[in-house]
Amino acid sequence: MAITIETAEAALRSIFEDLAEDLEADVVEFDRDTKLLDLGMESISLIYLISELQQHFELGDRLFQHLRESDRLLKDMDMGDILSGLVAVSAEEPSDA
Amino acid sequence: MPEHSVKTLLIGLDGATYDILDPLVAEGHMPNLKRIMVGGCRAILRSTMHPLTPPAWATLMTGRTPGNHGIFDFIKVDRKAGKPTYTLATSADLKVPTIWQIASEAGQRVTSLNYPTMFPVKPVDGVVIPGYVPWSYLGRAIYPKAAFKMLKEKGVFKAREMSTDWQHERKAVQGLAENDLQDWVQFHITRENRWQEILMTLMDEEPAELTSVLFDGVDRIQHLCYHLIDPETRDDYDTEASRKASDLALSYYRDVDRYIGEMIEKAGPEARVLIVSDHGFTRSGKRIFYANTWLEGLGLLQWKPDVPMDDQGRVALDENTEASTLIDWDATKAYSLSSSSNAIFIRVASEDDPGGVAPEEYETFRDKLTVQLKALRDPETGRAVVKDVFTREQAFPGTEMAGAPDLTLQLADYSFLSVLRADAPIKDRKIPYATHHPDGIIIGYGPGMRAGEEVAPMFIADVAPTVLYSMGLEIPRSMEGKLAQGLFAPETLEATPPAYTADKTGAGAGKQETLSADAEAQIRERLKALGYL
Repeated sequence: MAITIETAEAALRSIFEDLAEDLEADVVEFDRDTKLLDLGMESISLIYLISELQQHFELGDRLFQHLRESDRLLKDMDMGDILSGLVAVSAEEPSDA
Repeated sequence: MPEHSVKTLLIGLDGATYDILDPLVAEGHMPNLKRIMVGGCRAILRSTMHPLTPPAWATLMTGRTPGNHGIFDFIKVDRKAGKPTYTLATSADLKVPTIWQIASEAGQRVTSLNYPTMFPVKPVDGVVIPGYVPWSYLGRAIYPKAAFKMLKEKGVFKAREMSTDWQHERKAVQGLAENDLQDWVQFHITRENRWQEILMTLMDEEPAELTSVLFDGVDRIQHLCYHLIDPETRDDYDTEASRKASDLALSYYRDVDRYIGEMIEKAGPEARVLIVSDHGFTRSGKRIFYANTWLEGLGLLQWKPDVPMDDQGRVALDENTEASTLIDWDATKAYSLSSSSNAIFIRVASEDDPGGVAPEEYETFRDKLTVQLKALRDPETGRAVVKDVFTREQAFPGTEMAGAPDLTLQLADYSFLSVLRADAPIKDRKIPYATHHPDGIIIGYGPGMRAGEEVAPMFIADVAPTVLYSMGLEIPRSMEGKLAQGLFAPETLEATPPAYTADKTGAGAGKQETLSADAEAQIRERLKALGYL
């Protein structure tokens, strides 16, 4: 299933809404320029967030692989990188299919 | 809701060793464990070739060796490009089903608390709270969501007290000042209490045939306080701070013992109990091997400019910064990325990355490095630094072997190497420290199990088929571990002989390649040679 920027963004917003409910905190607001570091999560939680997105969209570990190819650390990325990464990965044929 | 009663209670004690438990039992700190040891059956449980928490627990949970389940370290290394990167190993990297998935698919309810590489949770009939999850994500990590809400309503879910703070852990396992040890032990006393409260609540509210919990404070406390727990050495440390930390650490074991008693009582007399550890423990030597510094001396690694020298006896950076950021990748052919893996990776040249070792020279390069590692002597003591070196074919044969490091080291004192830069490849350790040992524990107790006996050592992969058998379930033939028959009374085995089944691939394991019969046979021979089978 091809992922669009809109479906990717909706999935992320849903996760952040759930997290806010769990933590009894305000929902984290973001746009495509929001730095991952500014989401108020530990770096390890960012890894879990990406793991969860991979599982949600049944991507194996291809989103991680895609993000690594950019040669930047997770902490230097923004939400646009995650969203466009999801779209790009879903458009590729999985190599291990 | 149908009635569910506990058939098997699996209690994990990360890093537990008879070297500590036996004296504490003898001193009266652990009366429940004593009762179980007397009324049950025990054996040494041999860990994975590299006795490290994620690969060892993954083997225990799946009955498969790391080369087949795909977990080799806390991290998953990606070295497709010239510069390797890594991320935390997650359930996506665990390529085979766990005992909870298998039991669930066979119609049994399960509870799994605090086991590693379980996030994101693969759906089961039951409750899973994965281990090693930071506080801000722990609530969301609970499967199913309704269980989180129930635990929160009951007031037993307190994320900050039971989660993993990786930065804190990384700093602490490098060593803490004597005055900070009490806080470290107290943190784990509080943490285990939370997990115990959650388990007790789930046993009331969501009872499960397979009920499992992992207490990992045993490992964390032993790393820093082994010398204050071991009766052979604890009186040698007589400062007030040491005595207080020692008393607190002993109270931790009394707490764990009380939890074991409470769990067994609540599980009822029909439940079989397995108490297991992923590896044992022992005191580290007084020296640290700086692997990357040693590789620099051989001309195989170059640091980036201005990388500081470690003068504090550290094995890794304190903060969550990748060791790969310290290395000049244009001039590096071999490297170590994590202390925990005790491994060396070899950079192999490719079309995209011409800077590494030419593929046709790989074997020769690796053999030479192995010889050099085995020949390495500590200049101060004259002793060998490395006890043994394993290629990935030796250490991690299987379908996932390509993800394993090229060389895995067993250091002479079982300690972990340092990935940092230093002014010499072997330097003094600054504080007392303890490390993992291959010999863990397994204790079986309950109906149909042997009583009052110590039986031959078992392999950690044997736990998964043993758990399934204890629940009356079929054992998948693909499991490399064998049913630990020694734990069960002969009449039990005669009355209920083990049943085996073909693999079920629908257990949410994800992609799983299969091995040819020849490859399986080779792997079994290799494991035999290593003493695992």
